[in-house]
This record gives sequence, C-alpha cells and structure tokens, in this order.
Amino acid sequence: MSVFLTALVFAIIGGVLFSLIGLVSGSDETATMVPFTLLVILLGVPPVAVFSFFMAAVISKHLTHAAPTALMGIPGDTMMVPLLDYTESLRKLGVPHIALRKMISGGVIGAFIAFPVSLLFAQFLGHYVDFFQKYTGVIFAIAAIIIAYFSKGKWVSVFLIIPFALLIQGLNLVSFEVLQKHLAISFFLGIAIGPMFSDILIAMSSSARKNVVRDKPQTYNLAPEIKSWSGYFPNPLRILTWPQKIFTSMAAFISSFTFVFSPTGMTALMGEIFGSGIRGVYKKSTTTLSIMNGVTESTYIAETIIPLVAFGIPLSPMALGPAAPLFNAPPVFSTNHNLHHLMTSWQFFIFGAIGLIVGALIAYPFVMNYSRKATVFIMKYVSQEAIIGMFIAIVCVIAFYEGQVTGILVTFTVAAVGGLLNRILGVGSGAQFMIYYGSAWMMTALIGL
Amino acid sequence: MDKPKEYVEILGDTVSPQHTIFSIIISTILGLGGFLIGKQVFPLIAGKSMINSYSLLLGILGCVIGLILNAFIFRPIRILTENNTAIQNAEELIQVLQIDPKEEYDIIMKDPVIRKEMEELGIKNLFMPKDGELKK
Repeated sequence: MSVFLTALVFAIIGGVLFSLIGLVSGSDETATMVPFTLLVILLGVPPVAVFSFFMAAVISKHLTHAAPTALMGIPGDTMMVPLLDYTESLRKLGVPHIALRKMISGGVIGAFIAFPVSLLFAQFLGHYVDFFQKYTGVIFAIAAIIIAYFSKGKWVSVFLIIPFALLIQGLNLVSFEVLQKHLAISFFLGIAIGPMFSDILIAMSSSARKNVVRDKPQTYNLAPEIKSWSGYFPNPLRILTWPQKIFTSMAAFISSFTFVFSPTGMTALMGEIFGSGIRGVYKKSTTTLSIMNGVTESTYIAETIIPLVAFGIPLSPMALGPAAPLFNAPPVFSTNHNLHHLMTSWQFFIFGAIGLIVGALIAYPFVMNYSRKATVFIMKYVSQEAIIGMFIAIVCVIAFYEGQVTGILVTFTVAAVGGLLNRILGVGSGAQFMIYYGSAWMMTALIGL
Repeated sequence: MDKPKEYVEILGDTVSPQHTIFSIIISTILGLGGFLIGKQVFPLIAGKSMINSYSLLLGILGCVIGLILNAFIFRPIRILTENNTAIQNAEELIQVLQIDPKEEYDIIMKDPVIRKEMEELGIKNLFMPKDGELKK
C-alpha cells in the first residue's frame, strides 16, 4: 500500500473516531487522544500516517466538541469553558444552532490559517535547535517551574516538583530492576487518566465520597432542532460575516506564535480582546464564539507543529498533553528519534494537509447535519459507566503491552498520586508531564541518581 | 438492572458506583483477555514482528466490545430533556442578559449584515422599542 493511501486511511479513521469522541461531553483531550495516538504508533503505522491521523483527530474533535457546548450548555472539553457564557446567551435567544455554526466555521478558518503559519515559524525557530537539544534537561526543569506556577495550584505545584520527580524516578528504578528496560508509556498514561482515576478513588473512599455523591441524576437540556440551510455542505465562509472572518483570522494568526501558553488561556484572552469592542448581544456572542473556537483549533495545531518541527522535544502544553506520544512512544519514538527526525518539512506540510483536509471534510458536514441526532444517540444509549470502563481497559491493555503487570502497577500508582494532586491541589497534567521529562536531570543534579 | 439509589459524579456526569465497578471489570477482562489470546494465537498465523501489534489490536477490540456490552447492560442514568430554553418574553430576556434594549436596537439598525441574519432567524424585532419609546 502506498504511503499516501495509508495516510489517507488513517486520516479517515482519526476523523471519524474523534468526530464521535468530540460529542461525548466532558471528554478530556489528553485522556482520549493519548491512548489512541499511542495505539496507532505502536501498531507500526508509518510516521507520516501517524501525523495525518493526529491532525485529522485534532481538527475533527475540535469541530464536534462544539455540539454539546452549544446545544446543551455543558463544555465539550476543558477548552470550551471560556465559550460557555456566549453559547448561553444565544441559547436564551433561541438560536443555539447559530452558535454551533459560527463556532465550527471559525474553527475551520482557524485551522487552515494556523497550519501554514506555524510550519513557517517552526522553520525559523529550527535554527536554534542545537542550543535547545544541548540543554534539554535544564530547559525541562525551568519549564517545569514555569508551567507548574501557571497551573491552578500555583506555588504548591512548584513546591511539589521535586517530590513528584522523585516518585517518578523511584518507580522508574523499580521497574528497571524487574524488566531491564525503562518504561515511558506507562508513566504517560498514568498522568493522562489521573483526573478520571482520582474521581473513582474519591467515590470509593468512605470518608471522601460525600463530596461527589449526588442524590439525583444529572439533567441535560437539549435545544430543539432548527435546520435553516439547504444542501449538505454549507460553505464556512458564508456563515461568518466579514468582520467575523477578519477577527477570527487575526486571532488564529496571533495564537499561532504563542505556542508556550495554555490553549485554554489563549482562547479566553483572544476572544475577550477581539470581542471587547463589539456591542449588541447577538453580534458580540456570535463574533466571540467564532474567534474563540478558531483559537482552540489554531493553538492546538501550532502547539503541536512548532515544537515538533522545530525542536523534536515537547516544549508546549499541547506537546505535554494530547500530542505527547508524537514525541515519545518507546520503542517506536523517543525524544532523540521521533517525527522531528523522521519527517522532512515538506512531509509535515503534505501529510499535515491530508489530515486537516480529510478531518474537516468528515467533521464539518457531520456537525452541520447530524450533530444533534448523534448527541441524542450518545446521551440516550451510551452510559458514562461504559465509557469509563472502556478507557480504563484501554489503559490497562497498553500499559500491559509495555511492561506487563509492572506497567499496569506503574500506571495506576502515577494515576492515583498525580490524579489526586491534580484534583485536590491543582497540580495540572501539563506540569506533571513536564516534571516527568525533567525528572531524570533533576535527580541526577540533586542526589546523583 | 435496577435503578440505583445513590449516584456519584465522575468526569462531570453522574454514574452508579456499582455499575461503574462492574463496567471497569468487564471491559478490563475483555481487553486484557483479547491481548493475551492474541499473544497465544498470532504466533501461529502471523510474522514474528507483528505479533505484539496484532495482539494490541485484538486487546483494543476487546475494549470496544466491552463498551458496547456495557452500554447495553448499564443504561445511562443521565436525564435528557428537550425543552426550548429560549426566553420568549423580551422584558425577561433583557433582564437576564443584562442589556440595554435601546442600544441593542441601535446596533441592529446600524449593521445591515447582522440585521439580515437576525431577521432570517426571526429575532430582529425582539428589542424593538414600543411605539411610545421610539419618539423620545
């Protein structure tokens, strides 16, 4: 099979799979994208097709996650939280479907601006690659402090860097004793499913569970359907007004450079800056929504492409979260041997474009035409219990694949500690990933491990 | 399955604790079972380098079967309603959204593109001042 065909097939798989996952409200990006991307990599898929798969997954998840946000007023994932106020206003006006259309049209524009801009910027930054690779350990340690400080816990996250690094290196030593090889995926998965696992632990604890006990089921209110365009494929450029197109493009352009900042933070910042001068509830809400969803796409794409193409080491919140397997997925990829080293700039361009175009062609008409029906189906027939069961099982299978029982133990130890630190003290997953990368250097410098 | 009396919130949705535990057990057995069966079976039919990858795929297939099975056994607890949340009464809307109706009306009148969009949606006249107010 030619490599283009393989890339196309995996882009379609990524697009379909993540179009559906995006509809599951509250689905965490890291917890869903890390296991599936790892799976594709470990199956031995060619690197270029892995990249197409990932790009298709990013764009399609970020188009369909607009559906629960706009139609039910619950965030599709953490990045959608800044959009809630504006979707709520449009829901009250009785036009939630307009919120949805504006959002995903903004998303498509954001993606196709961020992709070339971030590739060019990465080319420029690539001149400094030697410096970055020489001081990787120190850079990770400094970045860990910065990212920890900007996580919810602020100083407590900074304070816990060394203890968490010691935990990771300790587990690393134990598993090396048993398996004679270093585990990496097991650590990743542990950090990724930490928040989900800690919820389960809290629910199981007889002293802590009173915080999560509810006496009645969660109620979701779905807005009624109003279809107001003809044909199958509404043109995204015609849904937005000219000022909306221009603002969305500008915000996507700017956020293509700010790859070290939090994607959620950039989404809120760009939306509020560009939206602040606009008056009128309908005009302000629709414009802000198209800008914000454009930025959720552009930050995700730029934060993956810039560190990957320029340095090959994970130096952005995205690269430390959902995109982590592209940088490090032993035995296939490591920070010295990953997509950065295996693909040329032209390949990044061509196979990235395949992923984005295929993903957009699947998700965009799907959201426009079927998102409401699909949301109803998932809400009515697929229980949260079944979804939790699936993710825990996938994590067990992949951890077992890497390190048998030891792998599973490492994953759930990291998930228990990391998850509770995340939930209770606000040490974010990004900070934990960064500590993981910096831990070897930190422990060597501190105690000569 | 009987409706449970108590719910817990996991990742933003309410679940039954017992159902969740059973669901995790079922999925994990199917997933790891698929992987281990693959490790036994694939050496007989596939090349040596692909055994691990194929087994992984079988394991994930087990997880997906687990999802479908669990979705059938454990019905969703969440309640889905389909009410229109739109507020039809203009006065109430103005209060909830904390807006100035006169300003809203001015903006709608000044911006033809937005006016046309709102007209098509049938919400253009929502903030139209009453006759008396217009003359002020």
